[in-house]
Amino acid sequence: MSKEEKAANESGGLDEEEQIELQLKSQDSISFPVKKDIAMHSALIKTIWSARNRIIKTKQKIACLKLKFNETTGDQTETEIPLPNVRSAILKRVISFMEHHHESPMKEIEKPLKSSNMREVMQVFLKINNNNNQRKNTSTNKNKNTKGDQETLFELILAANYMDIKPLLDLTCAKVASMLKGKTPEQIRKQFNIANDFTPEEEEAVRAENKWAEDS
Amino acid sequence: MREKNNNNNKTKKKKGIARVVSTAANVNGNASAPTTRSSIAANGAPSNPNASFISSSTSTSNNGNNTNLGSISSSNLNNVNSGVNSNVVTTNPIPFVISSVHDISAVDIPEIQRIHTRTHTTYNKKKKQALPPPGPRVFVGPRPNKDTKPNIDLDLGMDFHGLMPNQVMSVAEYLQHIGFDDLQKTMTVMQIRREFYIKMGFSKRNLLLDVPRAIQRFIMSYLETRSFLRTCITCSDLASFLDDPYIWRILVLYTAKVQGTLHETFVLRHRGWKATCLTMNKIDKDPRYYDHVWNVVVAGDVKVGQERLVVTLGKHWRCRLTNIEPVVSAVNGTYRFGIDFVVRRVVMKELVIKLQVWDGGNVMADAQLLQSVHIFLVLFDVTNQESYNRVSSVVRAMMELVRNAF
Repeated sequence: MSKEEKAANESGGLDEEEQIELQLKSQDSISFPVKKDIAMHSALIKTIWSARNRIIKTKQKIACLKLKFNETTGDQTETEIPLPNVRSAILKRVISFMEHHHESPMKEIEKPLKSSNMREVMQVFLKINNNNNQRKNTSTNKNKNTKGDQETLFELILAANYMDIKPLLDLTCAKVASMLKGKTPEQIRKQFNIANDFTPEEEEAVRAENKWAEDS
Repeated sequence: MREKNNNNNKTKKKKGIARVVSTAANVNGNASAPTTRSSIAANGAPSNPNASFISSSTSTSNNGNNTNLGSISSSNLNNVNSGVNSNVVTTNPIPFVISSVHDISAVDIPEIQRIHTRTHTTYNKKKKQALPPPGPRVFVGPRPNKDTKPNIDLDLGMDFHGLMPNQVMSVAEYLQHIGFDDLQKTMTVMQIRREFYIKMGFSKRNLLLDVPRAIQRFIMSYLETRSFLRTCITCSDLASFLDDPYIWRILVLYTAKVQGTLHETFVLRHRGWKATCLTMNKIDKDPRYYDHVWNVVVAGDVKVGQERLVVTLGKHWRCRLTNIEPVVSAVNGTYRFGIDFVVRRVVMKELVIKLQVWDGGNVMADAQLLQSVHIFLVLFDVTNQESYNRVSSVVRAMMELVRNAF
């Protein structure tokens, strides 16, 4: 039986790869099981996985050349992918986003945002979200502007940048842009805790240069 | 003589300090070596900044005493002395040396005590006379306890991390002391600087500025011109985005789409994105703004597609004659064209040029017409040799006209 199973594994490799669950390991060494297709949305995991496969294949070839067939079944142990820059709480959200994106891919956001309210911008996106659990995450991101939420937002941005997930990066960056939009410099400083490090002369000069943007 | 001796002692001691420091650096911050520990004890350097209390006043007074030892009169020296007596064993992980304290150790300790006790009493008497009348008083800061050693709360001489001004440390040690245990090697210089400032207490952690620059740019690219500029004004770090061509390009393309001022073929060749965006803003303010008027006449062979070209150029402003403002007519009323002309504005870097495109049809140009026309397009059919011949003859005639006119 064992020989037959092995043969089945080898022959039906393509079908089975879709069902493979990758273990994404976060900073706190907590691993999250994610289906392979969903995880492939991040370019980082894709490259890691492809590189690994290449190595495994070469190993197999070498093994075949050396006539060692027993060592070919070592693939299952290497499903773990370490992500040392991402916290587990944020990795959860990223995975939920990827799952949602896998079901219904996000539309591209138009470059100059049309309104400062994110709900109006992402109407289509949110309508789909109503049916899913992912709405909780996004809505919490969007409604509250407290400091903790800002931190999670920026951590999400960094995680998306690190894992190279383009739609998530788009979404989060657009969210930050919507927070910036239609506000005076003083309000922005207050919101993002930016210290004004211009000297008064410099500030006057900068303001004079860009005066046409000031008057509405 | 006495001074000279003192000076000699000082110099010797200073050399000794240098040696000690070097050994400490070799030991790498851990005062495990007995030599360093003993030297510190002998020098009388206090171990903990909390237990010992050396303030700016002592240090300054000591600095003054470097020249004249006879003028030691401050009460603070007593404190120093007591500190020296109490803290003989040092448990400091980072060995450091203070020059001022060091200089005191050069003098005999009982002598200082003797001098000091005299001065101390006089000082107290004077102070008692100058006390304010009894009543409720406000104490700023912690109240000094009489049971513990006399403590001076002036932290002026102390760094805010509890380090002395003349303390000698290596950079790595200092970073460790501040709290830089995990200095990532992948950090950029900007990030390290920012982290450093945060740890030093100069600036608070800032989410928007901590993000890498590429992402900042990406965020900015979602903004409208006005809000983009407003965000840039807030801070000098963000102000560097004011001339970023990536963002300006996106803004220009968007506004051009709305206004129709940039033709798609111009976009590839054009690089002054910021300047174009600024000029486009003028159009946003006055919808009828322009710098120059150029008259364009499209003429050529029969049925080559002049009308089609005029229509495509004027896709956005296909004007009716009735709605157009009075313009300088291209031709002095002598020529009459078949269809209405088309007005279109084009932005060339810093100029808004108003193109009045006329369909010339099959017209041959006169000298009079050529004076008022800026661009004269002559079209011909690429697939037809005869049309080219006809057109070329016409062009030759026109060139002669131009030569005669100017």
